Parts: sequence; structure tokens; C-alpha cells
Amino acid sequence: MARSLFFLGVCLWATAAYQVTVAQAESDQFFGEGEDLLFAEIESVYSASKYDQKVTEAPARVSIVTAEEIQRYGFRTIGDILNSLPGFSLNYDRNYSYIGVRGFGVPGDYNTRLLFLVDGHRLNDNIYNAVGAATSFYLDVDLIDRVEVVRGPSSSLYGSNAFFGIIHVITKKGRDLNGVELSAAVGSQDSYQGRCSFGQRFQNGFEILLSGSFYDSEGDESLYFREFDDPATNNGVFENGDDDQFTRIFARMSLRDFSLELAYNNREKGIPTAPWGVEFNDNRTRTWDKSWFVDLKYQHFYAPSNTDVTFRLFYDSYQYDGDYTYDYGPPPDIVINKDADEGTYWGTEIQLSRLFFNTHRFTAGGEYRDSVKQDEKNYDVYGVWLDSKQDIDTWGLFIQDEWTIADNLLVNIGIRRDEYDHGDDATNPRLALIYSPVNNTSLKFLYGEAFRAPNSYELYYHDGYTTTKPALDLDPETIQSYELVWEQTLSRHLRGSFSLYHNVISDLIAYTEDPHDGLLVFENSGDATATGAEVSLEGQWDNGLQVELSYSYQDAEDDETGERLVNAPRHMVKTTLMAPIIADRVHVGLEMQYDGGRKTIAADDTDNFLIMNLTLIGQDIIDGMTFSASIYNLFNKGYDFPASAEHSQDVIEQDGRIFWFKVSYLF
Amino acid sequence: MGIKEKKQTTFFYIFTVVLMTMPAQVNMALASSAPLIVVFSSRDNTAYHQVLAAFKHNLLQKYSGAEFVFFLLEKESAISPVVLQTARQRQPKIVLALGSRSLHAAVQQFPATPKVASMVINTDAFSQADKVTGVVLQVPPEVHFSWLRRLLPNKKTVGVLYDPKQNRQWVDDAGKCADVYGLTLVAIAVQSARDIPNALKELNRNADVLLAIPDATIYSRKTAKMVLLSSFRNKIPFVGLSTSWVKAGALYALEWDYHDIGGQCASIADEILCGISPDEIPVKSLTDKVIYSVNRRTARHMQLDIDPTLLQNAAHIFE
Repeated sequence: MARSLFFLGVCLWATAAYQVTVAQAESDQFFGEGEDLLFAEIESVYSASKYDQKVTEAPARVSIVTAEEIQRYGFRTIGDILNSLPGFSLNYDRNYSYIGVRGFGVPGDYNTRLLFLVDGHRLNDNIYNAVGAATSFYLDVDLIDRVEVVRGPSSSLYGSNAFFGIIHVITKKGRDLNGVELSAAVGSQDSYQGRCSFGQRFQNGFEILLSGSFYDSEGDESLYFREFDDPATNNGVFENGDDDQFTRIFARMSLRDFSLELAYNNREKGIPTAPWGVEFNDNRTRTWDKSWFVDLKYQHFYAPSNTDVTFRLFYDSYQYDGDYTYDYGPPPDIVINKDADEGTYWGTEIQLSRLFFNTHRFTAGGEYRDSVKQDEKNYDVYGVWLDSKQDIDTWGLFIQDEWTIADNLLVNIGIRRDEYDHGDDATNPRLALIYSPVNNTSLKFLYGEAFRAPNSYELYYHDGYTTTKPALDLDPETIQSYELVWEQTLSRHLRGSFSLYHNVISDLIAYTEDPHDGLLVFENSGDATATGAEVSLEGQWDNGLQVELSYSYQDAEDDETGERLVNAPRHMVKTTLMAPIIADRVHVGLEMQYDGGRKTIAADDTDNFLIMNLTLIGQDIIDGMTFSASIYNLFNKGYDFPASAEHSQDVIEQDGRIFWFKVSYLF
Repeated sequence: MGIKEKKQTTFFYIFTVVLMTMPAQVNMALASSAPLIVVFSSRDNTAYHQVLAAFKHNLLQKYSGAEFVFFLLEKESAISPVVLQTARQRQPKIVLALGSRSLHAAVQQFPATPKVASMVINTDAFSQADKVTGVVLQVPPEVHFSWLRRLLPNKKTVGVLYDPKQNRQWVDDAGKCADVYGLTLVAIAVQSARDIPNALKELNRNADVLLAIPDATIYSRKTAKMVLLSSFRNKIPFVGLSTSWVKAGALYALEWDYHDIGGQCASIADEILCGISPDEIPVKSLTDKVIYSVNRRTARHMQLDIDPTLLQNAAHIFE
């Protein structure tokens, strides 16, 4: 039934798209005089702000989420932002958030199959290759200007981790604030957040943005897990162990072609799920994630030679500490087992881009990353169980040609070579054909390969062979992706897109239990295939009304067993609606998400669910002041996500209705 | 075909039929001493109507019997050889060409007749043909800079994208006079529309305001969104080319008083009718009157305060 509806929808949409296209082609045929520059109607920037040129000409399916959408839909984390998009799903195990993409959402993978960038700077650390998608992310969403989401493998430009896509966060600039902004928020679960930011662009061209913020939440004070429903474990109730807090600092300075960026995040989280067999209802089990980077960039467009040059020098640090409370008895012997990981690296990138013969845009570059430190340590009062010190360096070279064969035909071809000094090498090509048969229609035929090298954690981590053991022998996992994308501007305000993809993954790295010794270990667990489709319709009008409706179908299965992969909903429907109540002053943002249910590790299925989030926002009712009130999970729907291998639970219950109020004032 | 185009086509055919079925009246006009003026117009919009109305009004005050034969050239195929031949036989004194396509047609069809042209953005179009003068739609740098200082007094670095083949002279002139207005010019030569994204990034880093000048390599319907989005996202105010650009998101644009342009064209036509060769009459680049449009929504987005007096005097304000 769902499949029939889906194809019917596609057919209707295709028919409408064709009719609109023919009409627009007819109306455009008389343009061509120089004075058109003055007298032709120009598309309003207000209705086009989501659709950059790169959306239709990019060798991938691209989505853009703007600061305005982030604010008006009440998104609080990068995970919320991504979860609003077709093909993306979220999982939260009450410590970290995991992003699933197009049928793959391996629980506990720490988002290593997505490459996260902030203003072009790589965020994935050098131990886990991880990026936190919630409170352990580097940035407040208030500082995000837009998020560009590129689906599909992009290792041909970016190397490892650009496996399922790239999440590029572009931050605001000093000029976006032009003063001091204070922000305070309060919400359910005793949650508080505050931020102070200053931004300015001075007349000599120097620009600065400084921001500091904190967050403190008690979390859900009482969580019930039936797996622990025993008098010895407080009848399955975990009390006061879901707290979450962070402090963040962000600074961005620029002068002409130079910019310097610094980001710092320090987050502490209580873990109420008792993973890894730790003591239940002991709130000493918790993690700390501290990360920071500094990035110096030079970018200049040399007009005489039409060459754009970007050079980058950076230093990154990530520190993870974890306290896990075990009872080593009998007799009772409560011990805090500690993880202490630290990874630091420096690196440099250079990229040159030049137009040749007016038809070939060549981009070439290289990247070098030198891991100064990749230390993993596990210890407790009884000894040091792991003290691994690694130092894996890597470099990559890439070249890409964007060849404009005709005004309506573009070929994008690229290849990148990556080498690691411990032997994991990879060469990844990409080929894209972008064809516009008629005005406002873009067809993309995409092929790409990507890889993800096993990270230091997957290779070397163990806790003294108590619950985990090191893998030592892992191959990079690889993906081959085939995709057809049809993007259609239906009218000045309406735009649709349809994509059909087929991904083949080899040597998928997954956390599994070794049946011989019962220990958890990462292994190349086999091959998998995902086939799916996404169809979306977006409308955006000058008065601020904005609607997006999408449906995603994704079918991912293990090639060997033929079984569906865990944590991947087969059907997802997402709707967002932003409507002005008082023009330019008061808006309402509504987000609805339907999840068709996911397979769990125990081969069960989570229930499908429909979640609705509502945000009301008022801007400049008092000059400079913005207030917002959000209700997440408006109808208090109970729903679960599949748990990871380290959990005793098969599913983990998610939050019910949550309130969030926020006030910002710009001086 | 749109309703407007249907109307234009209908108008054109009625006009053709009337012209061809009234040879007697044509011959009478030829015989009289009142000047016959052929008008080619590339567009059928308000601005062109205003120019033509003012031109006719001013000329008829002195030459009350002046007769006007009108051709609308929105579609080049619409020019009937028969009608053209008839018009040529009547030996018009002047051809008024509105728009570059019209100027091209006028040069082709009436090579020996003096021509007054306007609604043309490219100065070269005047110098590449004989017996052509008129009013070019260009704003000299001095006028732009003067208005920049009034509307955006805190912006000191002006970014300009240009194709050297089209606007080297304008940029050279601008570079010479920027200092006088306390401004610094950052001009980036762009030879292909495909280099515009990189050039815009460069300007976003180095300029306070982006000034558009008529340049077909840089500005088109295809590139408009790219330029406007760059301005919008980077909060670099964009000075557009016309009201259309302001409506779409440019902060402001200087425009011409089209009545005044029509009057100036009439004045030039009068000089020609008095016996002065068009080659001796310099092409004018700006009329005395400048009007401007402002987008207040863009100003709010960019946190810019526009002087209320200037807002009061704007020809159009977009909210």
C-alpha cells in the first residue's frame, strides 16, 4: 500500500513538474537583450534563500538549513537539525546521539560515517573519528548561519569519514550580531542555558565574533528500565543519573584574507542506562568530553589568473574521560573503572581552484594530518588495563574537474588518494553527470566511492578483557554508491526533488560479541546493501510561509543473512511548516516526524511513532528582543530507539513532552 | 504566449494593416514639411512608455505636425519587410531607438538616417555606428559614490565585479575618483560567470558594500540569485542595477527619471532637426535627475539605518 502511494505520488509530481517546466520555458524564451539586467523580473532573495546555486549544480543531493529555520523550528542541537531532513534519522542512548543515514544507523558508531566540518574545518577526532550530535557538539545552534548537508560518498574530495555524507556547518560572522547578545533559556527537567556573544565588523575590515555559553540539565529524574526490574537494582528505576551540562567558547576573527577560529566544548553527562555491565542506579557512571580546535585560514582569489587559493593550518584536541562503576565482588567491592583517552593532531591543507578554457573548473589539493597523540587508557585501583599510545599520520591528494560540456550539461569527475602510515590506503573516485534538459529541471546521475579507515578506538581499545577486547586486524570499510537525483523548480515558490539510490557497503565495521569468549569486539562484519528513495516538496513564499513535506523509503539489509539492518526505519515521513502570525514579528514553526519502526539488536521491532514539535517565536516586538516557546513531543507520545551492543536493554525509551522557553536580547 | 505578448502582437498587426491600407495619408505626410520620426522600441513597459511619451510631448511642442511611426521589437521576426520598406520610402528625419536591439535594427534598416538612442546600457553601441547619439543608461562613478556616502555613510570599501572587456574604462574612472569621496575601491576582474562565486567570496572578505554596474558577463537572471544571496547571507549591502533588483533584495538602486530621458532625447532630436550632425552631439550618460528605490526589509536584515529624509524621497520603498 505504502509503495503504491509512493509511486502514485511520484507520478503526479512528475506530471505537474513537466507541465510547469514547459510553461516556464515558453515564458523565458525572449530574454537576451542587455537591458534585461535592468528591466527583467529578478527572483526574490527571500524566497530563494534556501536554494544556493550549488544545490542544483552540486554533484550530490544537497539540503540547506538556514539560521532562520533553526530558530523558528526550535532546533536545539545539530542532531535536531539533521533529523528534520529526508533520509536522516536520530538515535539517543541517553549519553550520545547517533545520526542514521539512508538505512544505516549502526548503534554506537559515534557518527564516524559522516564527516562534520565547521567553516571547512574537520571536526571528527583522531581516536573515535567521532562528533557529538547533541550537547557534545562544538557550537551553539544560535551561532550557526546555515548547515549544508551533502548526501552520498565524498571521499574523493574529503578522504575518510565522508562515507554517507558531509555535514558542513557555516557559522555566523561578527556582522551578523553587530553588538552584544545575551540569551537565557529554561525548560523541563530543570534545564537552563545561557549565552553571551559579541560580534562586530570594524571599519578597517577586522571582524570578530566571541561567544561563551553554558547548559545545565538535571535530565529525567527517574527512568524505568524493565531489564533491571529487581529489588536489588531499585526495581529498575534509575534516579538522578541523567544530568547533562556543558560549557562552550567560540571565537572567530578575520581580517581581509585571513581568519582565525577557535572552538571549545566541555561536556559532562551522567549515564542512566548502565551500559557495559556497570552498576545500575549509580550516578557515578558518567562521561566527560572535552574538545577544542584552533584553525588559521588564508583564502584569496587571484583575479588575473582566476585562481582561488585556500590554505589552512590547524590544531585539534579531544579528551574523553569515563567513570564506570563496577562491583568486582563478591563480596561487594565497588570500583570505579576509568577511561582516559586523549587525541591531539595538527594538520595542514591547501586547495587551488582554477577555471580553464572557460569550461573546466579544476580543483586540486592536499591534506596532511599528524597525530601528535592517540592515547587510550583504562585503569582502576587494581591496575592499568590498557595503555595504548598510537601516532597514526595520514595524507591525501585529490583532483577534481567540473567540466561544463554545454550550458545544460555538466560533468564532475574527481579522485583522491589517502595513505595512512599504519597501512590503510584508499583511492576513491567520483563521477557525476548533471543535466538540465529544460529550464528549472536538474537531473543528476551520480557514482561515488568512499572509505572509512578503522579508528584507533576500534583497533586498540579494551578494558583488560573484562567486557571488550581489541580488534587489531581491521580493514577499512568501503561504499559504492549509485544515485539518480531529479530536482525540479515547479514555480517561483515551489521546488521538488526525487532521488533513488543504491549503496553497497563492504567490510562494514560493527561492534559485535565474540561467541567464543563473550567479549565485545569490532570486526569487519560483512557486506550490506541499501536501496531507497526520497521524495520531497518544498514551498517558500516571500511573506515567510514555508512548507516542506518528504517521504523516505530505505531498505538496508545484510548481504549474508538477508536480514534487515538494525536501527534503520524503513519508512519516514517528515513535515515542517513555518507560518507568519504577525509578519516579520511572530512565527509559528511546526515539525512532524513519522518513523516506521526499527529493528533492534535482539531482532525485535520498535513501534512506529509520530512526533510533533511546536515553536512560537516573536522577534523585535520589543526592539532587539527575541523570545521563543517550544513544546517538543507535543502529544507526549511514548517511543523507543534500539539500544547498542553495550546495553542490557534492547530499546531505550525517549523523552516525553518537553517545554523550552528562551529569550535573547541584542544590545 | 502570455497575455501581454498577445496584446503586443495584436497591436502590431493592427498597426501594420492601418499603415498598409492608408497609402494616401502616407503620401500626404511625405509631402508635408512636418518631420517623420520612426520609433523602434525593444520593450513594452512603463519605463519605455515614459521615455516615448516625454519624447513625443516635447517634440510636438515645437513640431506640432510631427508624425511618429512605431515599431515594437520584442520579437525580431515581427518586423515586416513591407512595413519597413514603406517607412523607408517616407524618408524619416530621425530614428528613435529605445533599447540595444532597437538600436541594432535602426542601424541596419536606416543606415543613413540620424539616430537618437536611449535605454541602452553599453556605450560602445553608440560609437560602433555612424549617425548615432543619445542618452546611455549608465551612472558615472562620481554619482554612485556621492549617493553611497549619503545612503551608507559608514561603508568605506566598495566592491565591484566587472568584465574588463565591458567596463575597464568605468572601473579606471572609478578608481581615480574614489579617494575624493573617502572610499576605497576593490574591483575584481571576472572574465566568466563561473568565476563569480570565488570573486564574491573575495569581496565578502574585503568589501563593505557591493556596487553593481551594468555588465552582461556578471549580471544576468542566472547569476542574480547568486549575487543577491551572497549579499544577503554575508550582510554586505548590494547596490542593484534597477528597481527590479531592489524588489528582489538589493538594498537600493539609482535609477533614471525616464520622463527626463525622453525630454533629453527630444532635445537632441531638435538639435538634429536644426541641422547639427548626430556625430557632433556627445552621448549623455546621466540626466540631471536621479531617482532611487530602497528595500527596507534588506536594511533591517543588515541592521542598517537609512536616513529618514532619504527614505521619504525614495521613488519606491519595498517593505
